[in-house]
Amino acid sequence: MKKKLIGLIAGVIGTTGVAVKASSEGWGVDRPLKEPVSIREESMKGPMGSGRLATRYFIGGGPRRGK
Amino acid sequence: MQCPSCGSGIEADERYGHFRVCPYCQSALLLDKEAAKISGKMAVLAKPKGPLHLGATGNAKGRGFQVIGRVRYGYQQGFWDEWYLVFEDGDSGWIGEDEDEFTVEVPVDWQPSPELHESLKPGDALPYPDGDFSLKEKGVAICEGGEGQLPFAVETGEKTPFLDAVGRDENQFLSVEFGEEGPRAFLGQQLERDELHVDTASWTENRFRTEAAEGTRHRVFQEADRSEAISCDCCGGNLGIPDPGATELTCEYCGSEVDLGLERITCKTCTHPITLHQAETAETTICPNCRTQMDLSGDRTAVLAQLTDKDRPNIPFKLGQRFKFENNEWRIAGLIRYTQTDEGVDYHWIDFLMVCPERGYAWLGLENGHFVWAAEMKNHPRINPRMGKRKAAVEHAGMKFKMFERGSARVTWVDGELPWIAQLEDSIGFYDAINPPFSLSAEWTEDEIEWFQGRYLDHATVAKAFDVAEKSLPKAYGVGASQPYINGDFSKAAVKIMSLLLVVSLVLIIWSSIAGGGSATEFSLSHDQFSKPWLSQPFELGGPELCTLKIEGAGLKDAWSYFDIALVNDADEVTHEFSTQISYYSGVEGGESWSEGSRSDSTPFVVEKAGTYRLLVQGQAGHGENADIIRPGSYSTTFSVKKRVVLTRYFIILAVLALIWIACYWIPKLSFEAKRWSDE
Repeated sequence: MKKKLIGLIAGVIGTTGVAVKASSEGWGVDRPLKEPVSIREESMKGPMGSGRLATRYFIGGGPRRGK
Repeated sequence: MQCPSCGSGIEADERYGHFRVCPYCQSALLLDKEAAKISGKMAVLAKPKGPLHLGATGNAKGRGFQVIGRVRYGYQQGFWDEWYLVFEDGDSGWIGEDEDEFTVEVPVDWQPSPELHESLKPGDALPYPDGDFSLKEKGVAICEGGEGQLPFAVETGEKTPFLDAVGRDENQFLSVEFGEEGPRAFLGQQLERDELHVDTASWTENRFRTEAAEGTRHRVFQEADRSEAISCDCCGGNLGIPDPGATELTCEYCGSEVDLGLERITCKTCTHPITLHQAETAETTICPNCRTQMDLSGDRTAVLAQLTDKDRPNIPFKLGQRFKFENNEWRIAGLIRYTQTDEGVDYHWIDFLMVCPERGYAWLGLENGHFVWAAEMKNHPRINPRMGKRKAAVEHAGMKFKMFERGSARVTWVDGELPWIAQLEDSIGFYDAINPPFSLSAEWTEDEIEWFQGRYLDHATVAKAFDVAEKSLPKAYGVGASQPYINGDFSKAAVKIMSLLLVVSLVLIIWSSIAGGGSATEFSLSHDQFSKPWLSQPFELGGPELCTLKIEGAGLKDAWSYFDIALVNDADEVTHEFSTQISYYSGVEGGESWSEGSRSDSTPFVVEKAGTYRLLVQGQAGHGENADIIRPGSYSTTFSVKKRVVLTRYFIILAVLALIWIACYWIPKLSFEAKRWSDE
């Protein structure tokens, strides 16, 4: 029984450790695109560097219009 | 002093009473300083079955005594003896002997009202001023006679109402006799088996001399002149004359062990041999051959009733069967089957009476294949067995019990020998409280209550004790009243560890939901703004770093919004793409309000390289299927990026795993308890 308990405690500690690591490192979440797409040719920044963008990067979208 | 009837010399010490029975002519004599007067004739008392006898010396709880007199009382269920003692310090007292139970008592100055005898029920508290006693038994004793010297006059046939009460602890005992001269109260203690010692020399000499002379029973092993053939107690087979010195035989016909040291009688009806397993206290026995019930309370056996063989229960043991349990050797002396009828359905259980020379009596209960070992309690708990709801908590000796069942039952089968006269259709009330594997049970009649402490025995334990295969025992149905739910030590320890893990997981879940390095950016866009591509102000992100993008439409109502979002680095390259939708609808239907959807959404992402980033946003919004039909400026959506966040999902998985483990422990246990408490 003692061996089984030690095994269980080790398993619990290990699993908790893995969960902490996975949670802080973001296992399973979106990573950067492997081939980033430039938007520079089509962009037109506003005077403050933000604002309306004359780009065709997004071709429509939405649940009913399709991307 | 001489007996005025027969002239025999009699001895009496006037300090211990003025009543003496002549040992030669049985005259009842009233003594004064100079002479003895005849007050009547006393019947010859049946010989004592236990260790005490007139003239016996010994000690009770270490206090030396000598027996100088005896009164025998009879009542409906049998008899008991009151032994009058002189202690070594000159005081006098009594030892009561009933069904192999002994009490030592001395008179106390208490004069209860005779009305108590009528008003108290077994189990009620006695109004004794110096202690907490409950009534164990009441009745009317009929004096069967006396012998030796006594402190008061007795008369054969004299009826004396009595009360016997037991204390809550320390084996206290209180008895009251309502005699013609007024009530007499006696206070003392119930003796454990090792607290009464009778000098063996006087015991042997007295007891076996009288037995041999009367010759109504014989102890095969004890008699030097063994010349009778023995029959098997079990099958009746002729085993011949045992060899000198033999203590037991094995029946060549049925294989049963025949103990030659036990007392034996023959059936008054069919002459079948009957072994008495506890001859000292047995008051009835039933012939295994013809089921004649015999009264053993006197010196000579008498037929009580002729029982039928109808409805014989199927029992897994033989009467007289020997077994070892907890380092003691026990025998099955007798059994009683009780039947409880509830809504027209009969429920049965069997109580086997066990005897052990060192331990006295115990009971092995068998109900639906479940076994409970029970022993009578000397101290009665402070529980009224006639009160209390099911599952009500009761406490005794530091243990907590739950009331399980109360009801009434009747005797529907008796077999073997019993220390009281049990008859078919005798009814009892019963009460059970449980704390598995332990139980606390009471059984009562109009005149008496007895409490028992029980312990559930699993089949493996019973099979080992009886040295039989487990499968030969009756199959257990359902869950026994005091059957414990068996969980291994590992399971118990593991569920504690998992409970701890669950707590840790919950703490981590809370921590992860509030943890984070702060906001990298936050801005709001109106519908007009996000309907075309919008590029945010640059913001800094570290790397590698876990971040979240949160979209919140605080004013969203009965509408949806859909967004395509890109994270753009300082080289104007899209490093991450996100698509997300939020929608929220609500209303009131049938008087009840409802809502569905969420006004916010959050998406985690990992940034590999530190640097300056911006968000490129384009979205749509609408009601139902109509996109972009939104009143301009009706609401805005907030976009925010949070840095150095911690994911919650893995801690939730951890908590779910712990919960599953805990559920696997508790669900079978709760199901087991539900079956235990089920009315069926």
